[in-house]
Amino acid sequence: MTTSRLLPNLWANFDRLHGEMDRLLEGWGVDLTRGLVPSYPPVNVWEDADAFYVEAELPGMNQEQIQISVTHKNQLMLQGERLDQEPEKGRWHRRERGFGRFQRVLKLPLPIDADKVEAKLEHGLLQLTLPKAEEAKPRKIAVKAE
Amino acid sequence: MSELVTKTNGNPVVQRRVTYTPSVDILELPDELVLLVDLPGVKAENVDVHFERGELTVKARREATPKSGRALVEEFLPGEFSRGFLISQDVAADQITAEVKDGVLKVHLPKSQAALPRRIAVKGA
Repeated sequence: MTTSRLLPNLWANFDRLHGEMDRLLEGWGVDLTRGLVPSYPPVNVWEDADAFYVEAELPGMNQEQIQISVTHKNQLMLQGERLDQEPEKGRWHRRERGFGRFQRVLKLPLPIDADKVEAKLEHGLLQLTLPKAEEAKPRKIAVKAE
Repeated sequence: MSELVTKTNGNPVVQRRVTYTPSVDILELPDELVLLVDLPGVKAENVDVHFERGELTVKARREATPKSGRALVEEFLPGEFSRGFLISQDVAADQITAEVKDGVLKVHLPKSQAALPRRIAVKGA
C-alpha cells in the first residue's frame, strides 16, 4: 500500500486506520474523502450535472508510472510509484520529496461511465473527467397539465 | 491562509489562496549542487528563481483549474509556492541554470572553480 521513505511505520498504521474507517463508513456513502489522515496523492473533487472531476498532485511522474482504474461502478483507484533517483555519486543534504508506491481509492457518490473517463497529466497535475452513468444523471420530469 | 474578496458582476466571491512551502531535495555532486523542488500544477513561466549573496529563492504560482459545479473534496488550493535557501557553498552565480519538467523544478548550481577540490602535487625534496 502507501509507503514512504520517511515514515514507513506510520504509514502502515494509517493504512490500517484507513481500512477500519472504510469498514465503519461502508454503506453510509460518506467516505469520499477518507479524511482525517493524510492520503497520497492530495486531490480535489468536484461535480456538475454531467460528471465528476478529479485533480491530483503527482509531481515528477509520467503516464507510465500511474494506473487509473474504476471498480464497482463508482470507485476510482489511483495507483503508481514515484521512483527514487539515487545518484551514483554525491550526497543528499536534504530529502523531503518522498518516493515509493502509493494507492488511493475515491468512492464517488454515484456510478460513472468507466468507458468515457478521460485523463490528462500536465505539469505534475493529473486531471480526470468521469462522466456520470446515464442512469445516475438528474432527469427532468415533464409535468403534464390536465 | 488568506482570503481575498473580489467582486464579479457585483456579487462578492471569496477566493482562498495559500502559500505553500514546497518539498525539496538537495544533492551535492563533486562539481555542483542540484535542487529538486516539487511544484505540481505550475507552468515554467510562473516560476521565479533568484540568487543573490548566497541566498537562493524560489517562488512559483499555481493557476486555478477552471471549475464548474460544486466542490466535494478540497485538499489543495491555487496559490503560491515560496522557499529560500542559504547556500554556504561557493557557487558560480552566473552559471546557475533551472528547468521545470512534470511539475518538478531542477536548479543546477555549479561550484565556482575556486571551490572545486584540487589535487596538490607534492614535490620531493
